[in-house]
Amino acid sequence: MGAGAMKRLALILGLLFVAPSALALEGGLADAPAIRQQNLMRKGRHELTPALGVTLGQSYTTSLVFQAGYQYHFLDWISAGLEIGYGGVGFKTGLTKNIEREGRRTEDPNTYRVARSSVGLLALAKASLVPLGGKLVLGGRHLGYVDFHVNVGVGLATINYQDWENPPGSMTVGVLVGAGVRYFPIKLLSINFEVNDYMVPRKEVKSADSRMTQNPVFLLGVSFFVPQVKKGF
Amino acid sequence: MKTWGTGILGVVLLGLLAAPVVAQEVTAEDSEKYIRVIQQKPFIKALRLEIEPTFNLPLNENFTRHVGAGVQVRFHITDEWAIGADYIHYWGWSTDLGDEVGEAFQVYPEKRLMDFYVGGHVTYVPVQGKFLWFGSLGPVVYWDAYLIAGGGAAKTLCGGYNGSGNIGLGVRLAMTQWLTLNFEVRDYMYMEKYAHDDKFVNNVVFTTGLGLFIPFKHKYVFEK
Repeated sequence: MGAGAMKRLALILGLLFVAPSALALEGGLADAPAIRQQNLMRKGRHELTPALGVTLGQSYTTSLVFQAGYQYHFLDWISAGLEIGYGGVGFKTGLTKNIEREGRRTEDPNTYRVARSSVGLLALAKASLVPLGGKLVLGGRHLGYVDFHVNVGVGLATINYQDWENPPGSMTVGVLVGAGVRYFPIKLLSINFEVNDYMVPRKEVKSADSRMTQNPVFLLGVSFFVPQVKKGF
Repeated sequence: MKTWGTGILGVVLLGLLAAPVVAQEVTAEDSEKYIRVIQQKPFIKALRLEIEPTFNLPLNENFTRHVGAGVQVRFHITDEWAIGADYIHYWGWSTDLGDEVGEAFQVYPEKRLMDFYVGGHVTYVPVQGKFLWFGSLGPVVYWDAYLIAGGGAAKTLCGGYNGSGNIGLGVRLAMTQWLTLNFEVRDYMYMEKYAHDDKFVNNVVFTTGLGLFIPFKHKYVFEK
């Protein structure tokens, strides 16, 4: 074999070795993200949410909560927005009914009715973090997207008074801490399950001292998302 | 020598040209019909034992507060179905609300502190999925959600043993092949005998625990 032939052979073999490794580098997996073409269900989207809720574990009044919210998702895992809720529709708890049946108000012996309060209007600015987001398979068949999110917020609240003569002022501050799950059956909307604790200072009953009360609310909501889902890398 | 070089070049080029043709034959329509590619499930529960020490927190209490500690042991028959047993021991105390109600309304509700619950249960997993942390960080976290139902005996400090049924749901996050982080909410229901009459009690309990799976790793039939 002459020198020219050897060069050609070396060139061919060299190309054979270099070409696959170049291809491998181009499509290399080492630096690739865990998921390609990921559906960014939240990033850059506006979320509008009507929701219905009920207060949990309240001593004297269980309230229904009607809520509307808006959030903008800056990234797939952080958002900020506003929510307005009304919790003025309430029902007496078993304790309140028992007291009214068997007890007597010490500060007003002329009535059996319990002078009590509950959360009224809530208007809060809030931020939401999504530490966990991904996919689910329902019953081995139906694919959907899901996230777990936590909420924090602060704003104004009013207090509703029931069977309470000359109630104190009703405007106060409210602090929100909560968490929930969004399930996206389709990319346009999600079904939300949340438990938010609205912490509000108030007197629960007339004889009690004013203190920071916890008002956890279970909320069932439907969120509408615009614009369409973007794709990740 | 020129012919040697040309010959080698020809063979190599033929090889390069032939390879895609062979590959096309392999990836033809027929093979897509008959060859199914199934990825290995990364976390398998079937035929494994799960031992879970738990912390328990009743959620719907007014006159009392409790914390509990316990253990759940369950055997996963399949990835979906499991049977198990659980025990919770409670420590409880009275809240100020009872005193406030007594002072304000001269009503003194009877309070019962819980002692323990022991029973068995069945779980079913209808939902499973995977999560990423903060959109893209860290490894993929595999998880499932399960429904749980069971029965056993609940005992309060003042009362005797009460038959108890419970239903609930939970979420299990797989941290490793052998360790999961579990969250569960269950309603333990029972009839309690009070001085005046019997009363139906709903004790809604939040439970969190670490699930330890034995054996530590699932053995695949076809290893990667």
